Amino acid sequence: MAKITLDAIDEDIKKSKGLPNHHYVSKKVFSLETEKLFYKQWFGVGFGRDIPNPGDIVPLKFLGIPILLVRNHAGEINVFENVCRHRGMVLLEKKKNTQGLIRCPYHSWCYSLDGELKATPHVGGIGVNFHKGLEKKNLGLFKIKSHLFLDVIFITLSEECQSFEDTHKELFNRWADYKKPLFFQKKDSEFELKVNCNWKLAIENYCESYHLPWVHPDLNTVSKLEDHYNIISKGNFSGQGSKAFAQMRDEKGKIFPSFSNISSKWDHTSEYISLFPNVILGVHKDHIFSGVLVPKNEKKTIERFSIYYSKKDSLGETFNSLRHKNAKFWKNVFKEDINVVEGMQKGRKGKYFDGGRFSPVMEEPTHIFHKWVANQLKF
Amino acid sequence: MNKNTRYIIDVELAEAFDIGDKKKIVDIYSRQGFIDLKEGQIKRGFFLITQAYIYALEEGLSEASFLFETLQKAGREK
Repeated sequence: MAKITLDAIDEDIKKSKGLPNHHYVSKKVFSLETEKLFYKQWFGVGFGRDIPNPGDIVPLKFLGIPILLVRNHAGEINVFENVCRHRGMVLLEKKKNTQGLIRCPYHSWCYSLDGELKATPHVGGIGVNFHKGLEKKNLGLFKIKSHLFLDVIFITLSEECQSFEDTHKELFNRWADYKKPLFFQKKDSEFELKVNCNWKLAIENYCESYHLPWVHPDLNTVSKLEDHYNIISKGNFSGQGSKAFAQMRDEKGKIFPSFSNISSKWDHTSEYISLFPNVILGVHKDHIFSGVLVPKNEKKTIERFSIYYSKKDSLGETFNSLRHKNAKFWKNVFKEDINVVEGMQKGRKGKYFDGGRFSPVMEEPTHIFHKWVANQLKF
Repeated sequence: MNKNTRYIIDVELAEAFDIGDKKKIVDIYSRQGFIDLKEGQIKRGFFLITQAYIYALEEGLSEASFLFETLQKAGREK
């Protein structure tokens, strides 16, 4: 059986191996990666569009942690641990919209949508709702650091983690043109795929273009392999771009409006990035998409996608058919990948596979991801 | 309050909980709480007013302010 050390992954790509099998099939490694590759990083947990209206609250369990995504009455996003500060009861099990507060179903301690503890009924005896030993101001919900980027809600559980802006400065600069309002149409611009593979296989497949002509032959007719280039970061993202981007047209030749004040470099360029650990992004001059990979266990992942447009006009009836065509196109691309990511997962059960090798020319983005994983696990 | 009236209120309250009508729950608790206070049932009255206050807070109902003031004036809320 192959034995590979993490140092073998940190080698130059010409010599480097990929991550060993147990990083894809072991519950123990999944648990270690959850701590080091997620909890200590900024990772995606959902979308702003999950809580579109003031007062929206969505409870979710992400990698075992009960959290609440909240849009407060002023329209700002907050993320909290979904646990009452009193007896540790989970506060909400179902999504809701409220004009009021979050009430714990156990003893009815109530919290504002900014996390402040507002009421502690009968805590000082029947009909006495305070006690000098319990300072409400010190018992607000535990707030989780969050940041919204391209409508993805990122969180970190680490106190040491730099701000999101500092962590992803390189990507912010690269995609400065896309710091703009995004428009989302719920009825035809979201989809979800259940995939029987470790989440890392989806990330590493997405960031390289080497597989495109074989797995996505239709894509290859509009953007050939030679039109693609690798995107290499100093550490926490990688991907690929195309220099042959052409806007999609409907049957009448209509195209989506473009983002305002966007550089002409995007006229024929599109870029696709895996933002480590679990977010995938794609930008074009007229729309973007964001994907959050939700690891369910070491061999099951849910992929959630949203497509956003540059202008409110793109959400109107006149663009129905083009929006539908665009969503179908992207859903099909991601569905085409299922066979290969699930195939690689099955391959990780092999007794002799030794992490494999990379194309030194075509797969630097994947290598960067493996190096990132190996380096995070060393600390 | 006689036992029969109390029974009617309990049934009304159970129905409101069954259908999840928080506004009605607030109204019933509040109405009964003030009746109890008037009748000198202080402990029970503030218990019910607290119940009304909490459900009003949860729903963001305007009644919450008045109920809060009532509890605060009585030294039962800060």
